Amino acid sequence: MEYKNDIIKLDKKLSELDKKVLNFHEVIKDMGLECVFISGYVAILFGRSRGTEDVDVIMEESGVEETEEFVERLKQAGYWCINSSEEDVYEMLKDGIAVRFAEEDEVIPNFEVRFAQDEFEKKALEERLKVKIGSDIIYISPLDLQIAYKLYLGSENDFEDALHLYEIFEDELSSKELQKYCKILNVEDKLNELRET
Amino acid sequence: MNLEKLEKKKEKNKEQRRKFVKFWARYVKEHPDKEWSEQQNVIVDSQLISNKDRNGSKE
Repeated sequence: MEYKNDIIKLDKKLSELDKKVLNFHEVIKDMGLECVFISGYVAILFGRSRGTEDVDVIMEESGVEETEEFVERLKQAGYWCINSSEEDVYEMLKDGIAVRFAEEDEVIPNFEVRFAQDEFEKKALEERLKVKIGSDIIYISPLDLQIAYKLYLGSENDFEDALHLYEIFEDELSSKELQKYCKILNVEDKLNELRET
Repeated sequence: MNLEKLEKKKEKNKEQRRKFVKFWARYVKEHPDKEWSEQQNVIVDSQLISNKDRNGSKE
């Protein structure tokens, strides 16, 4: 693993989950839409030893027609929408509700797609970090923001994800930014707990 | 049932889990990507493989 000039290079053996993420990202990329992977998958991407049932994806907000085309392309690529009819996807996304897509005949894992709506999601998209996995590129949320958000979510699993990322990227993290996000999210005590673990 | 004892056991378990998370993170940092990822994939993919087994693999 190499972290240089805001790009992380990974030379890992791809898991089936990684391959599914890259395939899903391919559809988004082909549409020319911007997205960022956040939350649990970020920890898993960098080695956290656990499985997951969903992969969270924040996308830039698009219009009705573009969203319909995106859904159509996903369908052509072999995905189905779990929690919405194809016609309602745009309205759900616009209302801030996540829409779940999975490969045909599967439910798990699924891709939980949302439009960037709150300031944290917008920040994650604007300041996304490039990760090179072999010849593929995906984008993840900034690590300091990711760790603070995991601490905010508050479960023990989230704490462990935050701890894993903190340990891996301790030397590269901006302590000031991490502190700032933790203050905004009112989890400074959790950050202290993380540092003392 | 002694709830106080149970609570202590839960805390101890949490502490041990966190220690392991730190240990594994250090391992990831100090070993080549291919080495840790091969081990990690067993865990990450086990959920997907069992899911496929249930549904009947198309591959």
